[in-house]
Amino acid sequence: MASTRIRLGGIKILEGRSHLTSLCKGGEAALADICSRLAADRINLSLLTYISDAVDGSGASALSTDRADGFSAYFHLRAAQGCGSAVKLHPGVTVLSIFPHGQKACVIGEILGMLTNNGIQPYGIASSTSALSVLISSGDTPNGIDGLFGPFEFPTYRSPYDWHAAYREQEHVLKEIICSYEEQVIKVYNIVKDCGLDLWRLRLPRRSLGGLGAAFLAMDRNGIRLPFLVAQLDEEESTLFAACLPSEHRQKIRHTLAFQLPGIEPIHLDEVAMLSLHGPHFGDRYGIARALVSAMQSHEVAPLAISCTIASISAVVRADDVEKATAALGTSFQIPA
Amino acid sequence: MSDNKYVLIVDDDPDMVETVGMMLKNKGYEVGAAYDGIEGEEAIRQRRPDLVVLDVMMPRKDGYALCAQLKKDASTRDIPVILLTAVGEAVPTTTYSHADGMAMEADDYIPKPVDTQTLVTAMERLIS
Repeated sequence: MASTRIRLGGIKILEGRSHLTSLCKGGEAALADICSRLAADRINLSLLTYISDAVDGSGASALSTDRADGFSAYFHLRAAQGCGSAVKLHPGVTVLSIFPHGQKACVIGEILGMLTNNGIQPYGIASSTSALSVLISSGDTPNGIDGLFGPFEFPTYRSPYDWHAAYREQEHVLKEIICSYEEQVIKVYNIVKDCGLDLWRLRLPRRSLGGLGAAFLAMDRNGIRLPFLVAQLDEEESTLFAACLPSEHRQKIRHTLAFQLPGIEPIHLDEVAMLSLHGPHFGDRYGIARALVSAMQSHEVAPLAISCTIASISAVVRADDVEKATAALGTSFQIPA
Repeated sequence: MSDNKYVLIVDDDPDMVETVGMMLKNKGYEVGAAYDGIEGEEAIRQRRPDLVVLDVMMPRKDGYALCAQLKKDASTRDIPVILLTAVGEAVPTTTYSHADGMAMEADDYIPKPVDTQTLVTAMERLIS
């Protein structure tokens, strides 16, 4: 437990999710096919992550839906091009989000430490412009919520009991807040571009999650911000991480990872940029991921990683592709000038 | 332009708070955040804002309830409130309406998705 707790704004919990992972040889084409099939079936994604393997062109996708849509989503993934049998369904998953992370690496560092201390294996992690979302099993949910109150404090919830008392009473209200936007072109509030980043990919065995947490804490002490992070389980139950970190701290980051994670070889890609879109109730609507992925595909921009959670979707692209990607997004989204 | 006016954003969508907050900070405003009505109420008690941007559909205490409370209390009645929400034509499944918002005596009402320039114009009119 940290000696000084980090003050955050709040917690959001989505229980009763189904989580699916797939490793597709088809890379971004397979991802586009998956997103298109799910949107056509009006299946809303409460979370989506994608990590491309720049070497062989394959891609690892993970997504969460309402539990009732889990089997439909499973069959859509099985039918998607280049995925086949490499699809796993995990019913009974909880999405636990905290905000705002303020791009502070210590927030995910503390979360990874808390999960390790509580023996919780995350199914995945996604980031939005404000929030970090962690997927854990339903069985681990009570410990996961309680665990957050170790490293973090929240202004209106002094303890997990306060949170339970306030939140459980209001679950029916939250369920009634369902939106049904049907715009011809999806409106967004803003597009945020973050350049001057490197993309770091790591494959970690479960025992190393605490080491990565320690590495993020060390990065935070060195003033290194963390604007993008996704993680998902791979076929061998290792966790695949992709993180964007500032290029100017490349050497410091390399040394920190080598010190905290001996024997792990990170794959590192220079000169990438992150594009984030935020729109009204993006978290409650189907078709947002399809719009982004299809737009990029039609403009021949290959996303290196994608994170979709809360009300944002973020894509990491090569720096050379930023203008092309922005133009592509302008064809599928109504972006303010 | 803003003379460091303090604006409190109350919205249960943290990405919305981040987006609008970033935009307002770039325009020179000091920005506070709260993520539901009760937290908003507490934040107003701790530091009186020059203006409140208030979402309607929120857990624990919705924007209408908080707005009505602010306008009923003599000590907070003159804090300008802009209600900000996805209601009416945009979201047919909700029972919230524009008329409800006006009945709460909000100083302005801006439907989502928000045009950021419209929001800033409304804010500058209300706190000038």
